[in-house]
Amino acid sequence: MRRIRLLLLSALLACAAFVPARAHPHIWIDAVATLVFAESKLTGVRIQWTFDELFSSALRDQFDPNKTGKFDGQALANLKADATNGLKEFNWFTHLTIGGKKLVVAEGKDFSATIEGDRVVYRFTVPVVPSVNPAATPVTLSLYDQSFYIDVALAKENPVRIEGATPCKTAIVTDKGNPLYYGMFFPQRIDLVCK
Amino acid sequence: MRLAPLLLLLIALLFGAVRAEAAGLSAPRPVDEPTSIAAPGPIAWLGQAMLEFQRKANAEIAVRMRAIRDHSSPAAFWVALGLAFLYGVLHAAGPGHGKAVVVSYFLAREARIGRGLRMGAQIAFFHVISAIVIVSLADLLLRRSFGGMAGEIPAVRIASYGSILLIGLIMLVQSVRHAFGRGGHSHHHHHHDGCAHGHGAHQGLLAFGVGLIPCTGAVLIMLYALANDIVLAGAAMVAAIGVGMAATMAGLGLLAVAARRFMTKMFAHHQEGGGRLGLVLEIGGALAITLLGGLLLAASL
Repeated sequence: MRRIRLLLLSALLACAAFVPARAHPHIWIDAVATLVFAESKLTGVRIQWTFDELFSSALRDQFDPNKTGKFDGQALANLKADATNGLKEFNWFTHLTIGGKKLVVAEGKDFSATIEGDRVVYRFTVPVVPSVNPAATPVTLSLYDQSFYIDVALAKENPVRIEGATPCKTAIVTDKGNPLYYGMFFPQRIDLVCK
Repeated sequence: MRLAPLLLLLIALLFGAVRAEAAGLSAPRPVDEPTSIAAPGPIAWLGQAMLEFQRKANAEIAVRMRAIRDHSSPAAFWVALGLAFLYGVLHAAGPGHGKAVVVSYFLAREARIGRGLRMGAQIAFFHVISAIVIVSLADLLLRRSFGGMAGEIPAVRIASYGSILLIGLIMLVQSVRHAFGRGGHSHHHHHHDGCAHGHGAHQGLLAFGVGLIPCTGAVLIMLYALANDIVLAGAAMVAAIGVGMAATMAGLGLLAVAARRFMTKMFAHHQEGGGRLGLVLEIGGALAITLLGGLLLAASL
């Protein structure tokens, strides 16, 4: 009986001590992804991030101190530099695999940062060069921060869009093969399904 | 139960905790390709639920703070306070926030239940004060602060980790002296004599070190409050987060106190074993705290 109690107590302490050691998310993003096609080939992915209100407020505080409602001039350049510095190690949270190989995203092309209502919105493009026919080469896309300092989720409404003509459709699945946050979270994966 | 496997288990727990806390307390670092194994169903479910809750809580807090700013809802303040409290409880249960330090401290020394509670409260208190002071100062002086940066200020990290390291070293020295300075007296008896005084100051300094680095959530709330001229409301919410965290930390401190008492009692009739257990706990706990402080300090220099 004593032995069991000791084991239980140790197990309890162990649980308390071993809780995942990565950062809790402190910033939240609602993401929208648009897959851009030309002549049935994927030429790139346009990503849109809407930040949560509290972090948006902090960003506006820092980069729009005069409350103009816009990020411009030197402030915008600083914002972009900060973002790029922080995001390149995390692949800009955009994990695009083409034929099983992950695309390295060092910089978001056509980057823009705007203030919409109370929220800050980043937009950028990940080009796919050379363009790819998803019917021939499997393409998947997953949006997440590996370190989980930022919780990236697909927006509630219409988070995955297609631009341009293509017979392919998108399917959103939970990627059980990619456990994150100490195995407690499985990100959504966008698959291109082509008949 | 044999002593050797118990000691091994304790050491493994403490060092596992130190490792976990070191990763949690330091700034987020990029991670290589995931090597996680999927957690079993119910644990994964719990993890997802916690993440969902945090996302919603964050959004709700923002809504309420806006309402406070616009004076649009009298209840908003109280709802925000309640949310902040819950956030604090959950947040302290997660990574970081000095859980390993608290557990190590109370495993290492004989303590009354009251101490466990006080320690939790002290850490949370310092977290709160730190969030308010550091953010306000940074905002006023630098106009550069932004979510998460408070922990990046070198002086803050050095002060925090330095305090933890210092206390760990003091405890280590004390425990080694106990190990050599005693013949075969029971640990119980000796502790009341020489070690009784000085605990309060140690505990306070340790709580200070652990609590110094504010949590990002509190920083973001303070920033919002400052930007929208609702500083008092912001401070109150940060205080509520602190109380929530204190509750969780105190609970943990209590658990450690109870665990130590339980184990001590179990070995009470083994005269030699009891003394040795106390020693191992004391040295192990001091070592864990020293290592934690040292690793974190080295990493931040």
